Amino acid sequence: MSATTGQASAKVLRLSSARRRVRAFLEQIEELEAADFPHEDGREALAKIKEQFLIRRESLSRLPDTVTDDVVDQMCANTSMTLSKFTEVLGFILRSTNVRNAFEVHFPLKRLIQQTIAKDAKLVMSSEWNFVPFTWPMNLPLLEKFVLVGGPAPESSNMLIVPLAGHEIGHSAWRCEEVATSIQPGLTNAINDVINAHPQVRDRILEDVRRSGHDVSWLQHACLAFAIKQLEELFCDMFGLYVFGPAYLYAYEYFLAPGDKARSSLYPSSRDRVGYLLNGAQALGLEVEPDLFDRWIDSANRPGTSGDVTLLADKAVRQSFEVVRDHAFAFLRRANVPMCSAEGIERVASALSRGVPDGEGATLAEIVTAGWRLLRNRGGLSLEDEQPEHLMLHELMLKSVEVSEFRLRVANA
Amino acid sequence: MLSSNEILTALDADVDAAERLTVVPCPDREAIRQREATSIDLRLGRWFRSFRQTQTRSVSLVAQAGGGLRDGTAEKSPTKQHFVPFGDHYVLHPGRFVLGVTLEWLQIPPCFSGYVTGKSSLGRHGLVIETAAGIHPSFSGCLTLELANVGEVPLQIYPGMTICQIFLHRTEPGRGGNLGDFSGRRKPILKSPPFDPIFHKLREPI
Repeated sequence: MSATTGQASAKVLRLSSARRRVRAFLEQIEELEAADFPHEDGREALAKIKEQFLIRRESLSRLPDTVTDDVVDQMCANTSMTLSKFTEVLGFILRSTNVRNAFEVHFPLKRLIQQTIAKDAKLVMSSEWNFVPFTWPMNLPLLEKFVLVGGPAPESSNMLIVPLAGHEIGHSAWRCEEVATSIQPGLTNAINDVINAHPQVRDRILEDVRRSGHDVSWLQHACLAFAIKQLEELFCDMFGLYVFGPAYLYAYEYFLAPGDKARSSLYPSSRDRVGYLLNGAQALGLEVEPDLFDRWIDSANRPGTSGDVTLLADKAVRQSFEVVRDHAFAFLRRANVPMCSAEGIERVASALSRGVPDGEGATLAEIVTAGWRLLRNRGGLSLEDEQPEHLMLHELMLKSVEVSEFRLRVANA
Repeated sequence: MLSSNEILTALDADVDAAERLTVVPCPDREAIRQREATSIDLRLGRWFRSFRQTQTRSVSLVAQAGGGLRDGTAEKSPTKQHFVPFGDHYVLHPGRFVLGVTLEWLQIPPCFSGYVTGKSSLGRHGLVIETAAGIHPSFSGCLTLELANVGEVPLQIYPGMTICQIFLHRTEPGRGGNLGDFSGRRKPILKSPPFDPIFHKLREPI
């Protein structure tokens, strides 16, 4: 109590606020527990989060009044940060129960992550109110075994963009395989070569950053950071391309065409990226329409030091790309992940065009590739009077996925 | 009514498309042959649709002028969809009703029609499926099932369990089947009845 006002001290009130925030969070979890979960993984993720927040509530409630202000501040700051992070995750888990999602796809994607990432990995598929596919690739402290993958909410029932989940799952593979560590020595050499080969750019950068007390090692680190992020994205592209074949390219084109002028240093430029995709497709022997990425807009580097660093990172990425590409393909081959078979795609396409699902146990990749081929052959099915046909195509693809699950479960029982 | 041999012939992929019966996933042909069944057993699918009782005052069972059988009707209806994974179950309480769907996607050729009946073993526990629902020639899609518990205890129904059977008849084919139409769905559908001009006239003041 304050000696003058009779009120509790700021320390006590601050601690009390933290306790109430955690209690409100736990009450929210209890409400979510009553939701209809389409798959157990979402419920398990919720249970894990709840378990940790019960421990946090206990820790907060046991703090004695004699605890120092510093400890209270630290506890409150940490609680706020964790609440902020996991409120977002709770929203994600809640949206995973929405019936607009293509629930049928969970089974084959979970098999993919268990085959490639970890046998006991879990998958929560959901959606975001953000027009980008995204993932938490087993990087949440309370959910180490969970891959969380989401697409934009308006597209969450769209089977045709499922291949982009392949890219997102690739981020988990990148982490589990520790690809960054394995490529770093070669990449570091490539960066040094590039810096030495472009003295004018190097000197321009150094002249600028020396004012902030930085030297060439700063430049090396900055290039490495950009190049590693870019190569991670390319690894994930190669992952999606290997697993989903041409459907990955179609989904990519659907989502990003005709490219974007805005450049992020963490991604290759938009035209470089489709160039890498076509290179990967060629290495895999995939047939791609030559005009798929025609008139693709390039994203230009920003002027100034940041753009110059990106320019050097781009050149190092170019030198290292094939190593990363082959790493992704070799990793998937070792995991026995099959590529689409032309016969499988043809069989599914034949069934879909007859108005029936595939009943022979096609892979997810074969189904979605056949779907894309039919859609493209029919001119895109975007006109108003083509909506019934478009809807039917989705229904048949999702039913084909379900039938494959049925067959697999019966065969493995 | 089609015999087991006729059913097996119709299920053959090599038969002429106009006479081909498609059931995906394909039923156990050996079981049909062995028990000389004149019907095909169908399994329960994973999607259900229940009514939102708390938000619904009443639902008109006649179509309004200008209305129709658009697929969007079901989406805007006062219903809630549920997805139940394999291995899990849906509890249908006494007196309650839910729409289910067959796991199988059917494509009936223009020369067949049929009807669906429940399994008597389930009926004896109080699970009633709309009796003798007709299936028209050229139907394509999963069958929506009207499931009601008229018994006295809650019933657990499982996706993948055998839920009903279809009997098939040979029919004089019409001029054109609608095998090429795009009405098939994998989820239970709640359609409005078609617009009835005679009924509409009866409602008009004279």
